[in-house]
Amino acid sequence: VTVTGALLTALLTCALLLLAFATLIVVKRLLSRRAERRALALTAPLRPALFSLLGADLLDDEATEALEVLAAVDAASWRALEPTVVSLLTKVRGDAAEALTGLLARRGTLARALEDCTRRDPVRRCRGAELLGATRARDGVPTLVRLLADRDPEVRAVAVRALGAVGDPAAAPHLLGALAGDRTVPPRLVAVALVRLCPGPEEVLVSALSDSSELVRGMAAEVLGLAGAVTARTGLVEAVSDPAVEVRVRAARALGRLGVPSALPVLLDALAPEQPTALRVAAAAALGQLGSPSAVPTLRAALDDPATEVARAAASALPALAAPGIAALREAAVPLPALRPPRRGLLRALDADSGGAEHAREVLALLDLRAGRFPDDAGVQEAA
Amino acid sequence: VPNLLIAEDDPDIRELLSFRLAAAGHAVTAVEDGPSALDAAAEVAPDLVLLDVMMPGLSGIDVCRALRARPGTSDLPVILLTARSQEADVQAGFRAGADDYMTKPFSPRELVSRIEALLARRDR
Repeated sequence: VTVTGALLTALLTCALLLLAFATLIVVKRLLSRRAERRALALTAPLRPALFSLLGADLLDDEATEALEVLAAVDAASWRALEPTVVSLLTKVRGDAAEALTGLLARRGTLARALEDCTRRDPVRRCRGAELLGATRARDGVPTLVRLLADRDPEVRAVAVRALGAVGDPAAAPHLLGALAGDRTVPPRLVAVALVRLCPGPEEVLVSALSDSSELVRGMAAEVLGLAGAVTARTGLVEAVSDPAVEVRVRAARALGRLGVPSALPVLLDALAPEQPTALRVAAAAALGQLGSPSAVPTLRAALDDPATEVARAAASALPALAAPGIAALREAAVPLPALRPPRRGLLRALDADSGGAEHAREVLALLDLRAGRFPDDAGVQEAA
Repeated sequence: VPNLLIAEDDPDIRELLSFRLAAAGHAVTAVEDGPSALDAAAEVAPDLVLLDVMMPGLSGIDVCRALRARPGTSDLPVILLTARSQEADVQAGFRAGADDYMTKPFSPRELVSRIEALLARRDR
């Protein structure tokens, strides 16, 4: 009896707990729906004013009137409308974004965001930083720069993104500095943020090519290439001889992206067999991007390189050098006399006999495919 | 009155565009996904279509391609509005037959000007 009673009590307790849990969920949903309905009711009359503000000339009477209406709404209505204003801020630009930022400033949202950035709770600091980024308000830059050294890594990451969104070039040295700090930030986010700040900080980035930190030098080279900073070519050419391989690779990549003709000798040197493989691969790709036919003999020789990555990069680069590049690939792919006529076509690329020939045939086959030239059926069946 | 069709899944943007275009003197039909855009294009015979690229059901690119393939809508001016700003994305938009391509964040005033320019060109 005691065991049965205990079991029944346990079952009853479980059932009650489940019931309480289900009730809690239902009540929460009902409350949330009620809050949504209330917010909709509060914001519906204000939306025409909000949309008037977003499409009008900032100096128009329509915009001024709309701004006054929105700036004067009661606290409850503003609480309901504020998320829409912040959300729209990330979706519009120009006068519309400026108008929304002005509205948020008048309603004290920006001041609250700055305040949030000083809170103990990292979630509040993240929210504050995100809002400062969304408003693109330069007043927030010092606060965001301070958050780059926040104890919470998530806050630091949000601060990096926000600085990129604000777009103030003055933030560039701080973003670079954060890379080498004790409290690190994700390099990929820093790269994206720095590109968004360009072309303003190009000078800072060029100086950073001689920074004591390898990470900073590499980032500077990468961003200069991504941002299309052709004025940085001299610094980047020098950076191909940096003591750190990673920096040299990034500088070579940047020179390729920029298509700097004067980088040809340094990139040819970087492809030499005694250089690190990663640099040689980057140099081969960059030589293709430069598009100078004078790189053809070096790239042609690299097709037979024992390092497969280098040979593949050279083969991929050659088509960009127009007719001489294609001719070099055809010449390398030659051992055709050994092949019988039915074995022509795409699958011929699979009959590898030498590394260089194989890579050349692979690239030529890809070019054929892209141009819509497909191997003949007889060749495919024979090879199959 | 020019009749415009907007297909945009973001309710705030959809409402903003409807409001601004109506204020500029256009009749506006707004829908929230790709399949509805195709249905609406057949029903309301719009003078211009504004398509968000990333939409549920069918993407703006797919809708644009389908409009170009239909006899009644093959010449319809189409503007794509999207957060995808990479060169390849823009190319894909034009390859699908779009007349213009605008990236988000966007300027509502600029968008209205582009719409009016396309309509004026069509009228000429």
